Amino acid sequence: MRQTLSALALLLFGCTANIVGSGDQNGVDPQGPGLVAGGGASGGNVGDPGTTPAECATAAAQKPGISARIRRLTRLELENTLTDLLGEEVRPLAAELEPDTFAIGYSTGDERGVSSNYVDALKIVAEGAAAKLAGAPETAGLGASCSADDASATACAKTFLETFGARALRRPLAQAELDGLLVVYTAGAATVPCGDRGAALSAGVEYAVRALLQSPDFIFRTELGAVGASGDVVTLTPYEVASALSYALTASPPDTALAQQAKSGGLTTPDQLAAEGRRLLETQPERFARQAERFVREWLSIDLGSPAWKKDGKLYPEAGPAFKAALDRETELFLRDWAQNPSLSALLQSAKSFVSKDNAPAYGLSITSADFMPTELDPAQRAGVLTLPSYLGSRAHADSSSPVLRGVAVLKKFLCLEPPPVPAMVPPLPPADQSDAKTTRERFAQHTALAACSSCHQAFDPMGNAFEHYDAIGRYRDEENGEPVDSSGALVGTAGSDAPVADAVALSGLLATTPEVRACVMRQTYRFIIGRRETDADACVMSRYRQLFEQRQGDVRELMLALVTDPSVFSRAAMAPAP
Amino acid sequence: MKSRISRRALMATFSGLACAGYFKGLLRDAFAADPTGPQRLVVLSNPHGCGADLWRPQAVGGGPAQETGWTLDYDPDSTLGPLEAHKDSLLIIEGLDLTCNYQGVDPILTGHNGGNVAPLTGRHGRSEDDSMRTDGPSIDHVVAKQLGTKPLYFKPLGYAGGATAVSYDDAGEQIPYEYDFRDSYKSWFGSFMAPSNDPTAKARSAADLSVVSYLKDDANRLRSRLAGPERAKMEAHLDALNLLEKRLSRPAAITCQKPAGAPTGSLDDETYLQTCMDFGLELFACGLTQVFTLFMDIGQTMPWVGLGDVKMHDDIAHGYRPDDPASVRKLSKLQRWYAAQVAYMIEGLKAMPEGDGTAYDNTIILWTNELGDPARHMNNNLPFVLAGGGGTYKKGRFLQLGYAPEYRDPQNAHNGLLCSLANQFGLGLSGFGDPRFPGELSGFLG
Repeated sequence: MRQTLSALALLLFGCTANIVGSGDQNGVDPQGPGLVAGGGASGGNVGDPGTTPAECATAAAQKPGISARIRRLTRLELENTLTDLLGEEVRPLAAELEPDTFAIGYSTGDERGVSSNYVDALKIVAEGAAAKLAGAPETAGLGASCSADDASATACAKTFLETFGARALRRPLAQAELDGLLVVYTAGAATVPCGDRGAALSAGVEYAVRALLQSPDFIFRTELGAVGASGDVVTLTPYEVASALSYALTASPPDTALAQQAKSGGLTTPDQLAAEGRRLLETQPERFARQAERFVREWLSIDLGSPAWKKDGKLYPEAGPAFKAALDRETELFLRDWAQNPSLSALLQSAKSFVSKDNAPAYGLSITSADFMPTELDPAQRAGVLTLPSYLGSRAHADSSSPVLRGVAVLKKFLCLEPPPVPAMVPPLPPADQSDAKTTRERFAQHTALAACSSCHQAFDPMGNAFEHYDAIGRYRDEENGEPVDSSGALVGTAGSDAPVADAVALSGLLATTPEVRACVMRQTYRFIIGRRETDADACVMSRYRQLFEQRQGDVRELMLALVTDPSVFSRAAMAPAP
Repeated sequence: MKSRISRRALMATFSGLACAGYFKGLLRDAFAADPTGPQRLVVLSNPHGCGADLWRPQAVGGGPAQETGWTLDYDPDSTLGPLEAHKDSLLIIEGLDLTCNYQGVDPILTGHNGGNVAPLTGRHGRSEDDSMRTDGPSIDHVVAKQLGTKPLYFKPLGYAGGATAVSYDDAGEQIPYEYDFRDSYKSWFGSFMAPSNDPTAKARSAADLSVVSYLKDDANRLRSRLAGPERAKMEAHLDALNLLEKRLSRPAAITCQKPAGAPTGSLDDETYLQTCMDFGLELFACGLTQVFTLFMDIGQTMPWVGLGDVKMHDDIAHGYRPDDPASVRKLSKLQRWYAAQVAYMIEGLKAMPEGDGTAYDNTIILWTNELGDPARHMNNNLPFVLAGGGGTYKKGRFLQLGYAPEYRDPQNAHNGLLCSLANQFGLGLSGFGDPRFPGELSGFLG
């Protein structure tokens, strides 16, 4: 059984014939810098800084690459938004919503709409949140004096809805919105039997807040420009720009100071935006850390709940719920720690992680404390996120490691390349339990030696083989079934010649310094922050990001900041009508 | 583990309703617009493909089956055996291909992703690296809109089962499915209120409706500023708000016995899919939905099937070889277990009294699969079975369209079936999904 599965990995890979392909859609050159295959700008060589400034100075290049749009809050964004509005007590409510979807590989993709189920779940969330109104500072204005008479109560409610509403919608309310909310307020107040004006006020406000927190203008943030704007290019309102900045860096709505800048006209230049962005990063480091953590988890598909983590209990009895929970917590701590100085090289080379008694078995350590302590691991065995057990186990089978899955992951995630198409007829595998191979690598090699297979597998197996020191749950091993592990491999798929590596530690080090990798990480960051895949139209801004990422030695935080403080953030192309 | 909603409890719900006269009245009201047409759609989909030899019906006494007069339970492992008792209400269709994944698509977009996207949408994925999205809706979504009902999309494995889904919205985006009974119970029954003439309750109901009214105004304001796909988002939002409003403003006479709690059970239970079906049946009984799609994937480990300690996908599906009878038999045994689950759903509907008959009479069940050829993961000759008494097509038939064993020569686009099905629900379409394959399925009506 065990061997059957291991060898089947290859065919499993073959199953997913449609994950294969040659690069990205929209004519983007998967090789990296170009982004513009045939678009007039230099598509060129890997490592090329990209489109030249001269080409980007043309009028055509100035046209916004992104269309006006609305973006639904992700679950994390909703969680932070509700918490900022109403306090920590409401933080757990967002978990009522269905999980995010990953159509572009990231939860932040701008394709997100709402389903009927989402609307129903949001109702539950909003009702739960509105019941905790005491957590909103604006409720201080709903004191006893409001209950003097009906007119006072209505005036207090109006003031509350104007101020709380502006925070909820991240902009001042339009008159029609305020009028509509007051209608809801009146209906809500009527649920309290006559006489108790204070209770009626509370009930009315609660119902109006339910409406606010379910409204499309709350759950979607807009990039539409001012109401009534027309023309080929729309200019975003300062409030929209403020939200773009804060949600990108902190997955949160603008704070008071940023909202004030939007109101006072202080967000009209890239420099002003950058100053505000840096202030947000300084004042909300935890929020940024969580955002950075989310990026890496989604980028590298680290998911302890994935089918890959349903390990064979007979082979890996230690991989139970406590172990998996500990690996998840370790990942969180590792990534949030990294977020304090988030360079690509640190991500790929840090030997520091966080270990408690529950994940210690992954490292062969004996620890009795349930607390996760910063621990310097053996740098010969561990280097960064690619050697985290949570990552390694996400790229393995239930009962074995997988050079194929691990190699393909490097190809897709770090080189932004897709594996070549699987031949239409992958030949049936011989029963693998009849194999005389002793190691996983040998078993895979027997199959990939077949002519029909080797041409594809050479595009990723050399990278996957470098991870053979790690078993299906990410433990380091020198031997497998009594045979010494062979982790020799190579970085393939770059412009240069294939670079041999001794193991995953060496491969990680090499990835950190490879230009194609930085170009790819830049694109991954772009997709996460901007919420869509890059297209030809983005060539010039991408060129700028790329240069900046190089200048800042692969600092992901600087790149994220650049992505939302670039001049392009202020405008959008007009929406195209339906095809 | 028998922790699912007990059959008895379910029956108590139904019989209680029938006694009180609610149930009949409820359904008459709900379907007054089209009292003779099909009123519910159930879509059951499962993984692992199909082996044609033990799947297709046989003539009574053996040999190739004709269109009618066949048997299903001719072999201990014949796939459709558990449906023998219901065969007069089946339409079994052999030879449909997901042609849209193959024809004019280079490279082809097949395998698991193609098998998730195409069966219910009649469309292929957008591209190789965007293969889990398409450009239009699935049949369950379309029918739910037509019936004005909020559909239940359920996938027991949840998101741990990967990003696969068979239901798609108008924009061709996957519709997130439900997978956690606790959440589903809260979502479907949480705001379920008993009818009341209490003035406070009435005022609350009015306030709830004023909230929805505000939301619709807001959505309309936003929609007026949008175009293209952005506008479609707000159209979908408005659809959902209209459904919410409809449920909230339902006349108080509509009621049912609210289940005391969420169903329980785990993926390790042989009965787990039946628990899922019971939940859908309860929603039917309470008139809370008319469309139920169940993605019948519960993972690889299914020891109760009787195949031993094997993985259903890795070993049984991949191990299938048409020329190896033992492997064909194993796959058929697995699929026969799924057929037994389909039979459970049928029996559940037959146990619900409705009008002069049962709920089964007003339901169409579409049972499909992600794959045809299991080992190669090809989407040709998918096993399609329709069940239920709903609709105007002739039942008790085996439609043999002729099929190409090789995926390279897809012959019969399944779009015709989707179109025919949609039209059974009054859609009046001239085609479904990929416009290259228009029209209804020839011979469907019989």
